[in-house]
Amino acid sequence: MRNKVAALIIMGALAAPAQEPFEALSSVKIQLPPDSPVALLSADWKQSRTAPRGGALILDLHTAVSLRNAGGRRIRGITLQVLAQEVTPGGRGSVTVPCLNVAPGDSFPIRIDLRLLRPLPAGAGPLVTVSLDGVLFEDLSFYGPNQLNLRRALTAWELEAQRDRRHLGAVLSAGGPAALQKELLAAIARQAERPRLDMRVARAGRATNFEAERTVEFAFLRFPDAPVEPVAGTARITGFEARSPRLEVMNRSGRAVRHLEIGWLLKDRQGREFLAGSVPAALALAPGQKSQVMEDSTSLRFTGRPGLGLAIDSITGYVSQVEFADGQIWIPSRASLSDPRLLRALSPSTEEERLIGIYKTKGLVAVVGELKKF
Amino acid sequence: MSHPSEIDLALIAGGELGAWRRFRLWRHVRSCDPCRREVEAFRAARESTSEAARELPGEVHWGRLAAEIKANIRLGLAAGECVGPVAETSIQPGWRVAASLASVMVLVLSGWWLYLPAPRILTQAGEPGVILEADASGIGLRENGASMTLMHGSPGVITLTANVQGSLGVRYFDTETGQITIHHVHAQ
Repeated sequence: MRNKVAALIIMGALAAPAQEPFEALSSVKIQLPPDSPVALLSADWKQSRTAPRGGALILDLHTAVSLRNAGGRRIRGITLQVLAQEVTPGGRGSVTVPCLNVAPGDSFPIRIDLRLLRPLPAGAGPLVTVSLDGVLFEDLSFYGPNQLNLRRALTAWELEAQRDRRHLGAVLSAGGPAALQKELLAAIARQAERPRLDMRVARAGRATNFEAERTVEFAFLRFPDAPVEPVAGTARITGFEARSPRLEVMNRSGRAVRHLEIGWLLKDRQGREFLAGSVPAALALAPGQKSQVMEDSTSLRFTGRPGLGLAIDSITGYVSQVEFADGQIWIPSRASLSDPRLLRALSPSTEEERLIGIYKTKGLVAVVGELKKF
Repeated sequence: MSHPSEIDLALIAGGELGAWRRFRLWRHVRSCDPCRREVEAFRAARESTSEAARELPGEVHWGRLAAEIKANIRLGLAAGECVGPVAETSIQPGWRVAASLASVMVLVLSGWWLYLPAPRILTQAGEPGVILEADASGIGLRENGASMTLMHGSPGVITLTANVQGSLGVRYFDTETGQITIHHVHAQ
């Protein structure tokens, strides 16, 4: 390890960057539609650099884009699409900021820290295009092309934020700041206990280990208020990989469902349980109807820190999100999530994580102030 | 505070420090331009090394390659013996074998060292050749030798999410803006 570090230091010294001034205007383009509810105030590129590396060019783009709410409604979330069409035409990136509370006329920053590595020579057009993909307002209405299909996620995050602010507000009202502090400290402790994992998602057939594959029956956590109930399910497990989930679900609500997400809780052979991700599925599920959810083309591979494979023992599924045909979204209640297994395994919601961050950096008074803003 | 040592900066760049030490040093690095540039240089060098390793043919089996080279050397020596002894040699055959084997060992060890994969999240999805991956510094999209990486640079807790339909996400609390920021890379 020490030799590797030494080698890296030597290589780093040999490859000391010959940095060049960054030409923002020719390298980056920010596109906002004419009727956009946000207006660009400024974009500071001073920290950005370009540097040649052999036959390639590295562009380090660091900016804080300042936007103003140019509409008449409060903004709750925003997604910017980051596209490097000439460099990586097969994909795109996005930067989303949920849990906002931006009043009309107010401004807010969005940080973009981006690194591009592209072969030389560079083309003539801009390397990066940043465009508006969507804005979520306080009434849950939405503006934008939604090319990245993040509208549903933005809405769910906002619903979770409302739910958790209500919960923490109730804790504050009932027990005062001391009770709120206890709640936040418990969330921080759970966050610290959660195993740090890396994941790999690959197309089926790309498994890289040699253990025999076995089929495992799903166990389910059932929420009394969930509109969709998982009935049965299996997945195939090979050592560190889980793949080919097949789930049967039933719509027990009186409304048609068009999308759902099933969360996966995996238990390793040491008995540790963690959230592995979710399986989204678009479907047309009428009231009372059953349907199959299958995903044969992918596999999930898990790696613990520092890089050791994590052997999977069993899988538990739960319904984490449901979208009805009319666009309304259901998320689990705090009571449902208070199941000890879920509490241990799930990350806090985006809003809970924001409030924890504020508590860590600014203290309890700032959290109380934040709760009173909404 | 004095500047961190070069070794510490290299460890920060590689994401190999413990949580507390990383947090303590990262506070300095964020506010110190020379140190930040140093970390970025280490990070770039590390990525260049990884890139070079990735560009090696995936199907190369170094053990087999070494065995084949050794076999060819032995075959050559055996063929030389078939045509009879050479009257005048300035270098003993034993030295030749040793030099050849040393070269082979250098080649094999270099290849093995470069071929070690760095711990990262990897998503292969969408069009062939499009790879989504995540490591300690950010999540990225790699295609045909070019790449785009969204860096978070957060010393705190990050939450990674993988969507089986072909996207990777990372969520973190930005201490500068006081906002939660979520990065995604999507394969088309």
